[in-house]
Amino acid sequence: MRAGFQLGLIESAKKDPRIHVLTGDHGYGLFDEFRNEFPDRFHNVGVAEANLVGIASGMAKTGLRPLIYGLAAFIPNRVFEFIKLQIAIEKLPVVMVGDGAGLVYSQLGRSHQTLEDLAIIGALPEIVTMSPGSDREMRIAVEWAFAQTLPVYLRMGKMGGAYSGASASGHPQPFRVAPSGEHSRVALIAHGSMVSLCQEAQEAFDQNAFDLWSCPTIFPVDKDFLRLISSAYELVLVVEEHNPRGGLADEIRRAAGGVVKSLSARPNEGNEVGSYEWLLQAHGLSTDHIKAFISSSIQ
Amino acid sequence: MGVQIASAKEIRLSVLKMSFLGQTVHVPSAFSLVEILRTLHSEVLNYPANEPLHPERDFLVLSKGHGVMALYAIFLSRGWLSDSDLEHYFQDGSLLPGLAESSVPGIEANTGSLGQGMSVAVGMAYSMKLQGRAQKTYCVVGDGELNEGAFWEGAMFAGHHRLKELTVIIDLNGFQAMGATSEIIKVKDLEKSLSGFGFGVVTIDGHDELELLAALSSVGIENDLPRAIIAKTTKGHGVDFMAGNNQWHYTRLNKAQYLEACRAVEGDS
Repeated sequence: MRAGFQLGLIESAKKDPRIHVLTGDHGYGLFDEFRNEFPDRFHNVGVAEANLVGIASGMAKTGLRPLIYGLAAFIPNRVFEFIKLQIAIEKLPVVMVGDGAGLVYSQLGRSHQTLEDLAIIGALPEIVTMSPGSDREMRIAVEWAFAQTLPVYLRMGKMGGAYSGASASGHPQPFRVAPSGEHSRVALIAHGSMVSLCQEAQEAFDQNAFDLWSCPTIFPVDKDFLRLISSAYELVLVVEEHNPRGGLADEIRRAAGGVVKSLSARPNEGNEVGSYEWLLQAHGLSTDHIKAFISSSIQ
Repeated sequence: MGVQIASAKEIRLSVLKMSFLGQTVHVPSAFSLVEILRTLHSEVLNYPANEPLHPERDFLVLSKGHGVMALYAIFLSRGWLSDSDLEHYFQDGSLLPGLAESSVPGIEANTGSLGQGMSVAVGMAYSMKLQGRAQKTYCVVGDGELNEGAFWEGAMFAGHHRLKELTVIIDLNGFQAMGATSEIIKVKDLEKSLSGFGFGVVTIDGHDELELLAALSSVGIENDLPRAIIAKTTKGHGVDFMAGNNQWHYTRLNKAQYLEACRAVEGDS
């Protein structure tokens, strides 16, 4: 997803000289190409996330199009109130990137693990929130974000999964991964890195057991997709690398109604750390857990 | 500049009227600011065609958003607000929040929450520098507000980037909500602190408009740095029974007190 992010950013910045990148001293290597191409449009404000948000607000108010980059642990978690007052209320066109969302920083512990960012940012209805599942979705999301005049939160999780699809519309809309053809009676919906895990899990099931969807835009979920969920599916399953409250599953329950079962990260009662895969397992989000979740849900 | 701004006395009377009719607090917080905001609006800030949202205006961020009544009174004399707007302050359906919000044209940021205006002002000044635009940014900060860490994040950035497009004015009235700043969180040497962060600093009498104007014209301050003007003020200045009496931070005026306060302001030359 980093490649998709970089491509989307650089293509957008070529077209729009108002785009500037600001970081709170994170993103090692991620912005090398951007810095080479646009050295005067990259700004490291230091380890000062509140100031990062305020500066972006001041820049957006005066005609620039800032992208602010931080770890999701800090953008949005640490600076929620600054985002609310200085960006959301005024609907300023600021793109906020929260990298390493979910359990990516598995070994570092809970300061950097971020399983509540969607619940936090979702409380601000002015902000469009996206959690792309592939490089292509990420690139579309970045370019789409800069084409709007709205605040956007871009959740960036674990990179390099198997899923590589994207909606053919060129917008960050839901994409039916497989199979094509008739709809099943069950929809399995995921976002971010969970799309790839669901795709792996899918191989264990009959091709028509369920339709797998990537849903890259969380707030708001695409209206046509919600109508489809309400009309075409008897059962909706959601898998997400987020706490059970306040994520995509809750949003679909709220907006579409119907029966929505979800598999989310477990509230962490242990203090153990380990690899990303190990921690996913500990949180009940491995491919095996997803298979078991699907089996028990659709039988 | 081209618009006659109300006198300091008229501004204080407007604030008292708003506060009495709306039965609100924060009168002394507004009174320590009157000359600072008046000097900025009458002598310094450029609003082409007197338009509060003109893209080529200078920017004033009132970071201590609880002093907003003084700005509303100034906006009245600019014609940006009406008598009726002010009379309905704190009434149902009023468009004037009790703490500064940018929904009111002329207010540049939402600063009811302290410590946030500085970084927005820094962003505006930095943006002007990046875009090669000449507009200036002014940020008015309370001394209690200096407790907030985010103020210092902004100050560090401004100093590092030598943002001469930025002027910070500190309303040093010596009090915060619950008492004297010297007793709650004291900054031992504010001049040294700010100069250490890279500001050109001057300390003046914040109720003396000539001193304010001189400082805002960079007299005695290095020119190629962000500027910090420490304006020594009295919380509640203009009304003897409020001046320096911090219980008025949270006290509402009854009718007798309102009339007495008006008389005190009228008598103050």
